[in-house]
Amino acid sequence: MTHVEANAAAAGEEGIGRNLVLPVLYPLLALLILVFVAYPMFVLFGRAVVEGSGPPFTLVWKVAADPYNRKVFWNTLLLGAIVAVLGTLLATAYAYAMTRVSIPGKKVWHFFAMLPTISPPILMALGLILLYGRRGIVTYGLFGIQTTGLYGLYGLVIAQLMSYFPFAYLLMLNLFRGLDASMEEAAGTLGANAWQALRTVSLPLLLPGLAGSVLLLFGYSFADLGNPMLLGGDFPVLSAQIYQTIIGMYDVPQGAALAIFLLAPSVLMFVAHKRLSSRMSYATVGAKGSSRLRLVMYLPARIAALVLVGIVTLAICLQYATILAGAFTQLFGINYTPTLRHVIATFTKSRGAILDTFALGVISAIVSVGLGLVIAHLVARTRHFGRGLVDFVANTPLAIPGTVIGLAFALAFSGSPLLLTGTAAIIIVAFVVRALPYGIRSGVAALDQIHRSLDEASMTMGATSGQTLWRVLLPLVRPALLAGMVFAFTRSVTTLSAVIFVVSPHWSLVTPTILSQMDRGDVGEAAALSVVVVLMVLAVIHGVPRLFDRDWREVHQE
Amino acid sequence: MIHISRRALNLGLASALTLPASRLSAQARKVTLYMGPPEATCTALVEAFEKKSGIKPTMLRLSAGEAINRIRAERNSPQASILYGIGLPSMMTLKADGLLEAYRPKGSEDIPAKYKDPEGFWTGTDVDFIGFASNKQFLAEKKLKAPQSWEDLTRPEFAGQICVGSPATSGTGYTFITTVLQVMGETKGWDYLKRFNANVAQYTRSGIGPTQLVGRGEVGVGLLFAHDILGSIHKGFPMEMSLPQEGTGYDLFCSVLLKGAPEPEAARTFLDWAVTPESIELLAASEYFDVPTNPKAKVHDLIKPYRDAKMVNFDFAWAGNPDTRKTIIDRFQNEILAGRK
Repeated sequence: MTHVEANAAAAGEEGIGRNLVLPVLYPLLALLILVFVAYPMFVLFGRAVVEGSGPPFTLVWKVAADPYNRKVFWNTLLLGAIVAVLGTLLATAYAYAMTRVSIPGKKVWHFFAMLPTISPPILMALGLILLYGRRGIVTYGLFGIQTTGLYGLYGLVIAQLMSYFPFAYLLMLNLFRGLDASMEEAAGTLGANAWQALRTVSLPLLLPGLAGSVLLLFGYSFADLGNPMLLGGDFPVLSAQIYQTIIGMYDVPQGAALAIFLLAPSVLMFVAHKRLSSRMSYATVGAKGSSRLRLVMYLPARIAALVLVGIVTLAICLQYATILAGAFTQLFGINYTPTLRHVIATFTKSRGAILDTFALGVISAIVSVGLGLVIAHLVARTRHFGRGLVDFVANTPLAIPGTVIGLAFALAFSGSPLLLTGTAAIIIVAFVVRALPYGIRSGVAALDQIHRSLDEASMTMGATSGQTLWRVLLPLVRPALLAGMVFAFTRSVTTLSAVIFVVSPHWSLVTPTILSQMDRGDVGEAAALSVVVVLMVLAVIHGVPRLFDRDWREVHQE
Repeated sequence: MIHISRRALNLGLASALTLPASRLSAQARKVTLYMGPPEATCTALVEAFEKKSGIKPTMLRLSAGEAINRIRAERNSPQASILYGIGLPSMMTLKADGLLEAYRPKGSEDIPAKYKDPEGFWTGTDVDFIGFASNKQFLAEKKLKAPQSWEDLTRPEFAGQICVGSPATSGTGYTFITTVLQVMGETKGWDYLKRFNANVAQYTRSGIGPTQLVGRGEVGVGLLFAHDILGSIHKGFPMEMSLPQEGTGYDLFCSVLLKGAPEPEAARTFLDWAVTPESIELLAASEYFDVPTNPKAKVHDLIKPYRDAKMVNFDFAWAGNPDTRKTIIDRFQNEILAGRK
């Protein structure tokens, strides 16, 4: 320990005595996290493990032995594996084309590739049904084919690829950008062509990233509820089966037991992902892409890259264009007369859902980033007892599929000691708990950018750590926090799985409304409401920095 | 964190403050309902009720399964006072769970005894039966006649063209399966279901799911409650309805008072109103074509031809028993769903 750090530590410990904010805040925070993250999971486990007269685990074993449940379990794994592998290949190719190949229109390709990340995954199912269903405009209208092929494994793979490959793409994009190009250049100087350089130099360096992307996509596929509900057909997967067990058979204990079988693989993936990424960050130390990149100019490669991004972009555009068209036609697939009926219905019948979604999304974004910053500060800048545990528990929702969290919440807060059913609070808490890990991440990222010497200076001048956080650190980290809030908002507004068990007559949300509109067959209204959600999220993403971020405004006014 | 908006505030106040005076006045002004019929019908009903009584209704549309679950989950703090327009088997499940409060609505004397619970826990407002909805274009293209019997559905012409709600998640699907088992008996019934399964394109999640699939011609034939079929025909979908000559099953849609209802007085007012001809006639007026249980209510012209359809003597006590449900759904999943690719 250097002299300065030792001083800082001493100052910090001394500070605890004087400082009134954090010692009060900290136990409160720990309590909140225990009650809202750990407790619901305990309740869920309890319902699954101790049920009925038999010894513990009777039900869990029974569920595991049931042949139908086994089929569902393997289906889930199969779907996850296919989506993970194909999605990673696609994402890698897309990211490579975007970072290393000279192609025009990169901004456009990037925008459309990112569009699915800000819309509810259920939109993909909606678009696919309209395009390629048994009466889809492509399959039936264009080719006259009537096939149920979409309902089942193939449809699910396509829908999940479109919904989730962009997340993998983002990961790979950052990796390619971070990769030290001088390595490739060295390979080039030694006589390797672009392909050889990629294969022998870049790819081995990318391997941990590829594995990370596989695990990430596996997790997303596992947690998806909307697509399996609409496109599952005869290919049942766990998330939808849990919903059906509880909603169709009224069998909560069995649903809870199934939830454990969904949870276990997700946790395994998460742990594997975590270990990998910690190793990965070690591998890239010192490899901050320094030298200027030379883009691949080889014409066939450029054409191939353009074709790839073009096809993917076209497929995504078609989805959104179809949904947009569906929102303005009488009955897509039968009667294409233009109408404003659905849009009007959206702003009258579904107005409550839109307003509630927006309000709760904003509140939970602010809360999760605020809490995240405080936790980040605790973990990174103080030495309180048990801070590691708080950090760990607060981060566990990353590993828990939304369906499981939603179910755990519905079970844990439907009676004493804490009754939240039917209130806005249960929805806000569900949103916050799921967004908190990202809040912490944005907090850590924000604090990382500020040198410790600043808070040391503040402390030396006699400020408490609370004052330091509020008056010194907060103004500096505002851009990172705003980004975190936008992300939390997007995630909350687009989730279906986490809220389907906690919405109530008094508080309805957009995604469950879209699902029930699809069930009823009100395709037009579902499409119109979907358009509204996407526009709302886009407005927040582009509006928030413009309105609130002084730095952004300064940069863009020049 | 809880007291953020006016609604949360009201809710918080209503539950937190124990001042009897404020509570009573709050109760008299509003009522919360869970409702099963389509959105348009629910809206028509609650709007008419508000106009008539001045009580402000808040409603959430739910499927039978969602409703049962929610009511069970809210056992300790019921959020709604009324469950309206859900089939009798589900109501019997709730009654068995002790989640209903007996109440005989004023005016329910007019309703025949078979549509009411002898103990007064549920009162039927309308009856509906299962029918076959065929897409006219499909029939014309394949030169087929609409199916006239349960057996017709297993004919090769209909391979991959049939759609029905999954018994595991929809009331329609469950009524279908229990009807078949009652018409044919246990052994023959399950044998039939397996042969029928070979022709099924998809078991949809919700009971009304097939309406749209048949209407848009995604499949040729759907098994649906007549109110969904007639409603689609009325909306202009190219569909026709036929009934199985062996007899079809039906369901009785009921309204009930939930145990521990937060607004009991307003709820009773609603239940009294729900059995009046004025209220029941709103169903057909909002394109929800059911047969009213109240003989004083007018029957819509679209339903009249089907009033004498052959019905099985539906055994609700058996079908509504939670154990029956579990056995049937387990068997359905393991013997039929598990075999599908």
